[in-house]
Amino acid sequence: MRSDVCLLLEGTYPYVAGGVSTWVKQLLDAMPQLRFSILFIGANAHQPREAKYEIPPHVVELREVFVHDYPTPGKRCCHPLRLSKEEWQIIEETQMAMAQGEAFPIDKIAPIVRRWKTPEEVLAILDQSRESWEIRVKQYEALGNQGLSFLHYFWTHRFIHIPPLQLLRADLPYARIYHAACTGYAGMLGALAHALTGAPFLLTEHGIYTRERRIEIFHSEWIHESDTEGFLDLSRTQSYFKRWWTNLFLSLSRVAYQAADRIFCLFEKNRQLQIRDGAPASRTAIIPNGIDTERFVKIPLRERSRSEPFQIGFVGRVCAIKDVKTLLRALAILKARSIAFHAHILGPLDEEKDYVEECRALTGALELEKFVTYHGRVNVLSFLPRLDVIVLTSISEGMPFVILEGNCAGLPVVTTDVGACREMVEGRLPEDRKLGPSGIVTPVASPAATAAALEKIARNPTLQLQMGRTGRQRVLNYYDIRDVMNQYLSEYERYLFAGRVSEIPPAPGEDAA
Amino acid sequence: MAGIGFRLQNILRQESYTGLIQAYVYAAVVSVGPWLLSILGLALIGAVAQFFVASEELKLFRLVVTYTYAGSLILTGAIQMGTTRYLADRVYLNDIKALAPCYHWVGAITILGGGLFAGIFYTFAGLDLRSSVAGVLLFQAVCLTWMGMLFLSAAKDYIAIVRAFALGYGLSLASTGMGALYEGLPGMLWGFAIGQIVLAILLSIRIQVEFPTDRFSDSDVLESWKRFPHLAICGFTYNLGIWADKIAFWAGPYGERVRGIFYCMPSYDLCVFLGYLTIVPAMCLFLIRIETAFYRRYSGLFGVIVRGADLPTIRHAKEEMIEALKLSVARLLKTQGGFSLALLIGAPSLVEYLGIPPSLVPLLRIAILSSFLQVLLLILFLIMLYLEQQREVTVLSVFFAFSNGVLTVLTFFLDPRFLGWGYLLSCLLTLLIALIVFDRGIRDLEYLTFTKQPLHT
Repeated sequence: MRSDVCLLLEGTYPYVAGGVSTWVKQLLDAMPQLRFSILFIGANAHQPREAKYEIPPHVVELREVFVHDYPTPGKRCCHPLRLSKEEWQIIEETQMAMAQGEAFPIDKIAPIVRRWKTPEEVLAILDQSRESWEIRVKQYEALGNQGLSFLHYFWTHRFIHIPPLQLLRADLPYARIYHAACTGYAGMLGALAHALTGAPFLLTEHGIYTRERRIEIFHSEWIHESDTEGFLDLSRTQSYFKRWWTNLFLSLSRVAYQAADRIFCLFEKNRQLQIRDGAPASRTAIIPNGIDTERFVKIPLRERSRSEPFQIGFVGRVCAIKDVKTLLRALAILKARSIAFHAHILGPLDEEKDYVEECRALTGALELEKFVTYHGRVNVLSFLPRLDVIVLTSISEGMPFVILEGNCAGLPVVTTDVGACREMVEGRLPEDRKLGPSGIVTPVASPAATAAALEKIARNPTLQLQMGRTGRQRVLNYYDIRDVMNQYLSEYERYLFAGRVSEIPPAPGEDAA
Repeated sequence: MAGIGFRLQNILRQESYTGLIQAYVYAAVVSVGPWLLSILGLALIGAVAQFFVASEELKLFRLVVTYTYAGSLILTGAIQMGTTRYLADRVYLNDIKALAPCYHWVGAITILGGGLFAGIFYTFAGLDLRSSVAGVLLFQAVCLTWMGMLFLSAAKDYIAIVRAFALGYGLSLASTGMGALYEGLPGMLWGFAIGQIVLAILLSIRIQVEFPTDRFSDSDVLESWKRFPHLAICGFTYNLGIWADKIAFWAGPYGERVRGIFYCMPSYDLCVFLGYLTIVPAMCLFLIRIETAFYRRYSGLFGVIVRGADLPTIRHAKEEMIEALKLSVARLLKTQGGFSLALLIGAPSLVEYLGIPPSLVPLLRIAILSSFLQVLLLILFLIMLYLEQQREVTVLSVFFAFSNGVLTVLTFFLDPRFLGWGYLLSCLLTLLIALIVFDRGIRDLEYLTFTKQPLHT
């Protein structure tokens, strides 16, 4: 059965809550007349998955594929396919492109890989064959005499190159349009669909995938960095493996950009980043996030007296990228300056449990237990009327819904200058900017600046009211979900009725649907 | 947004190779130890008992014991390597609690299986009832002893093994002697069996003491047997290969019937026995060398890999290991080679000194040469097992057993001076092929080592 739109979702809806999942839900709710299918891309099949959203009936199919799909231990492929010299060359080219952050020839590599029938066969060819060993050694030696740990090189090579190639064998749902919600593996599968069937491929980037991966890579401890035994030169190895990982994701992005018919993002800064990373400017466009303003305009604007404690709201997942620790430090400054406040941390506590523990420990260490409450996941709408300000301290953001919701509810927003936040709070288009600011923008990781901004609003209820009004007007004008979704619908209709009908060639071992 | 291609958990895996190293040290001890002991033990007992017993009875006694060793080694050979592999994994994971329960389970299987096999054998063997019963018990005890040695080797508790053997064989010696005095064959067999039973019990007790545990029996080792069927074939056929020519002679036209189905071929048996004695120096030398130079370089190589060395360093470590190996082998060839050569040349004088008929000199020479090749083959197999060539060794073992049997039988149809050439040629052929396979494996060592590490999340 062929759907109208296949959504390619990596690590989000329906199993992970967050900004992108919310966008997916809005998209689905806005277009019940279309038939959707969903391809969920997860890390591995063993991770427990619980759907956090109720999947509507016009989603006719939910399929899952996994980046790490390895055979059960002991299972071996006795007669793997033998590849020709040209085919090995294409594999080598693909791996080199990935290692260098360049686009790889997906139209040439996909047909080769799609002939391999089982995970055992994939490994037999790509991982255990003599040819693959020789390619690996050749690439290692081409790096020159850097003294890199061969063991780590070998394992990194396995985990960088095998997942994307084996994922190219995915059995894609049959659809007329493919729409990926990020680059990365989802974008790669969109490019695959386009290469195999010629179907239109749309790409929406909420945050820039490669940027976020770069931050995670920077912080990660499990990527081999240096060796304590003195075999290697610290300064050079420090970056090699991390650069390799970053290049993989850059490579996947470029492949997606090259194949996509339309490349959407949420705000101008991101559009510039996309163009820098290889997206053809003529295919890019901005469609921001939107919210159901009707629900939020009903909330009365808060007229607070100066003596009432300042109710600060943080809405979002408690995880490293949201930098809750900077917020805690800012709150400590507020407390030291005798400002009466209470901070509400509203968002899932079950995603980065280690980080949540660290935040709780920091809360204790800063003696903020009485001033901070961790509520877990709550209904934000019902909580907003109690709050005076929304604060964000994220290191990286796309276009956070919480700013739209907060502003629409009449709350000012204190936010770090990341992603779309500045243009949301100060305006993008000229008429938008004329409305004035609906909050205060601070630098990243600066507890003092965040504290100063919060203090300014806390001490000035008139400012709070004025910024709240401005925010509401801004959101009503530019960020209403109906307007946003209409833009997507017209994009879909453009391709659905353009007469491009294609057949997906049958997956190995399967008949066409 | 969660980047799922990219979890901040432990995707990178580092596996240590030292577990595998230990596995094959055990194999060395277990394959060499019993062989040596069977030869020396018998020699000693024979030397003592000849004063008390008719030569007929003594001959039969020796034969029963020989058959017992042969059968027990071949049968337990099928489960030794698989068990060793399982134990090595447990020890590497520090799961000491699993060892005793595994032994109970394996021990039960061994006793039951051994009892069944020996029961069937002795039903048709043609001995008197008392001797047959002793024979069955003896077989069970010896089988259990081989397995007990395996477990204690896993914990590197060689001293306990030696102590138990000293006690057990001492008792065997004494009680066999006493049995000889009073009852002839049944007495000797019962005496010997008692000593061996005590030995098996001593080892079992030592295992209880050495490996405290929280449960009685654990059949997890079955998984290991199922996952590595080629190890069962390897152990079984290698031991079969060692005995194939002797069995062929016993069953063949030259075999002499002593009683029931106990056949022997005195001249061949004697020469082969003496031949094996001549390679004892090589066995000891190699065992000691394995634990030092080669092993050090071998674990050095894997240590270097695990600690993150670059490829040129790894290759250099491999070269060093090969150099150490070449050095050890060269020394071995010189020492044992020289020794064997001297014996080859001095065979006539040796024969005269031992009071053996001079017509046996050619056969003795062949036996000395064959033993020399055999020990080289054993050593090569052990090294190949270290270096991840288990499947190749399995195929070669099968070839060895098959060629030994077939070539020996062929020699029956030829002139009598070709006797013993079956074993000689089989060892030579297997050795040559093994060398070629080994050479290729050494060249591919890094490739094989790295790519055999499994990928799974």
